[in-house]
Amino acid sequence: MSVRPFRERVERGPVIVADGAIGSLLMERGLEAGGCPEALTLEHPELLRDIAVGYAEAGAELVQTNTFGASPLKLASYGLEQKTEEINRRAVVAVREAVGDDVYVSGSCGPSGRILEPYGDTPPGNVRRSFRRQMVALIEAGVNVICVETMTDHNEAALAVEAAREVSMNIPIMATMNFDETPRGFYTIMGTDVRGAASGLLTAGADVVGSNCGNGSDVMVEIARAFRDATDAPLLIQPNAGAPRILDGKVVYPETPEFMAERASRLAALGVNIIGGCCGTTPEHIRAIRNALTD
Amino acid sequence: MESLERIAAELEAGNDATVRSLTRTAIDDGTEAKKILDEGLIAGMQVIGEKFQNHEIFLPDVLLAARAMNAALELLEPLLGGTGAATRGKVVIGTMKGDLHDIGKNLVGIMLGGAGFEVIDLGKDVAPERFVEAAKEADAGVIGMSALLTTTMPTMKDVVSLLRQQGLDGRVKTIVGGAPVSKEFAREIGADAYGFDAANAVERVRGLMA
Amino acid sequence: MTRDRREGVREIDEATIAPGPRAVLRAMGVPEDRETSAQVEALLSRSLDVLIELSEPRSVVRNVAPDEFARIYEGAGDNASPAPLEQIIPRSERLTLFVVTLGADVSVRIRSLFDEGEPALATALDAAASEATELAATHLERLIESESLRDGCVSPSARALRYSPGYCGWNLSGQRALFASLGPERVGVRLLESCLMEPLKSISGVIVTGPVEIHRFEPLYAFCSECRTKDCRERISALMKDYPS
Repeated sequence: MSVRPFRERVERGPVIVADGAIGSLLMERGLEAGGCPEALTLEHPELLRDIAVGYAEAGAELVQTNTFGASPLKLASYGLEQKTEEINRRAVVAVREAVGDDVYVSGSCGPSGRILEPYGDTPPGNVRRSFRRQMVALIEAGVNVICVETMTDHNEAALAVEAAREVSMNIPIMATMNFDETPRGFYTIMGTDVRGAASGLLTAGADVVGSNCGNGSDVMVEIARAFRDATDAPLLIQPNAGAPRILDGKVVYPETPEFMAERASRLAALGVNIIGGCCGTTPEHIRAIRNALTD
Repeated sequence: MESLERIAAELEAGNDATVRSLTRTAIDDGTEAKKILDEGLIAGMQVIGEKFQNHEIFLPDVLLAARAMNAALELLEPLLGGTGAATRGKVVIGTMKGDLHDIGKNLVGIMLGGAGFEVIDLGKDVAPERFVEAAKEADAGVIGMSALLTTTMPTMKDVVSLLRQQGLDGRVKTIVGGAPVSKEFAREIGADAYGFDAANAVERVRGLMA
Repeated sequence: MTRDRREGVREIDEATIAPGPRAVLRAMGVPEDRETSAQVEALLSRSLDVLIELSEPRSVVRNVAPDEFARIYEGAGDNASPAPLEQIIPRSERLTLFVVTLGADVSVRIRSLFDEGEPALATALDAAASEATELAATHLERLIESESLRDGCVSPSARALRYSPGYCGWNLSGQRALFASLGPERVGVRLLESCLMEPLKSISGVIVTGPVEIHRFEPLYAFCSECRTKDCRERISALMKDYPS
């Protein structure tokens, strides 16, 4: 493989630039609102190849797979649970075929969509089994790293990390959570703070921790600061391109590539190891970030 | 050619999708399909066979590499045309009558395929006459027989006898293998070769076809 | 787990007989000290998940008196002699015929995986299933052992060890007499003419329970040189561990 082993690359630096959003790009290319993005993998893998190539050419060293909602529990809400293995595998294959082994392929894994007992109705065992199925498929298909993301419940996040670790002792795992800014500090909607998230996720077996989604770049800089205070572990930060607004009936994210690029420099200065983008970011944003970090 | 070397290297790493993408690139660049097959895939599998024999890599790696090769073959097959991928010869394989163990035989089939042979796999519980008929039909150069039960080994001798009776023993060579089978047994029954594991079997078949 | 009330039929919880990934690797010929890639690890995980999904471990057992076992063991008269069981049986306290099987579904899936171009998973599943069948047989050994101790019909130091036709001098043809006496068809296991069992992932034989000392023997018999498994020393010393001589 022409890329260095992932952990080594993170440790050595410099900052790894990750890709941006794919959901909005899929919608531009025809995904219906409310439709299942992961189903698109089966019908139009070429879209995933194009998006991955777009980000790689913009300078991303790490691209994600279109598997954010591809855990069997989440797919069940579209009646696609039995296609779990196929959807995950094909999503990995599509990206890998597009970028070869010059770029890291990250297996994205988002929330199950269920609330764990005792607050909700889903036994943790079910959630763990669901993540395990997804992790087996992603890791077998050859992802370089697993990315558990946009989590708000640290228990659920830990289950996902543990499931991946159970499948493979070797696979690098990143885990990021979605925090809200409150007067008392940064908390997820389920009440986890940055310190608790960091320690819980690292204990569960994550190699890289951090935050994605929910906030624009300025807030993410503060969240990054809180993470750096809490841990020496490698950090991943993926901001939204600001808070979304509705303009002429369309959702618009206000942060420009230049804006995000400047904030990315601040993230790098704080010691963040991997920087990408979440909702509203595009290849242009990633290109600007890459340029800012290489100067 | 550098990209063909990379294909061979990626085969070894078992990266299905990378092997496929490199194969696709090579095709798009105008490299001849047969060249990609020979210098990329088969060359890669040969190195894998050698490393397997030297105990540098093990069965799971070999199988993942075989899977990667099949992923690439899917792209090449339509371009290789009627002559098909196999130019190195045809091999009929099967497990003896009364025996249902087929893992070993399956592995031999996979590695023979990786080495560029066309494999006609008769499955398990195969009667001696069927081995011979299949070899005649396909104009195969080698019959490979596998047994894991001592009670089914005698039928290997029946295949050798049938070939002799029909005057085919010069044209169709035989190789035997399986846990209870030995070099001595092979010699006793008049088989042409004995393979002690899948990689060794491939090597011996190469020798028989030469 | 439902209890099958037919005499001697036992169901076994598939979770108790799932092998660890390292054991599956070993069964595939990978040495202990060898590091594995994440992809191979995921392959093993998947094979274990499929194994648990498809296994329906069942067993049937039947205690027999020594003279009846002697007739079964004599079988078609093809056994090697001398052989370890000749010394062990007279000193045993309980003899239990057994067959254990994982069921046919696993074997069917292994076959279809090869046909579908998934040789890696097929081979891993095959290795895992073989290991699981061995674990099921060992599980049965321990079960018979503890039942016998509880029933009080064996010495306090009694341990159980199993022997199968095809090993240790007991000719493979001995399967026929064993099957006739045990009736494994009750759990879906039949004997083919070649003395192969179907489903393939099955183990049959006798569980010998008796004072731990009776199980000790050295693998110095004529047939030992051809033995492919050679795990008798390991199994005997594992038994002896609790009872140092």
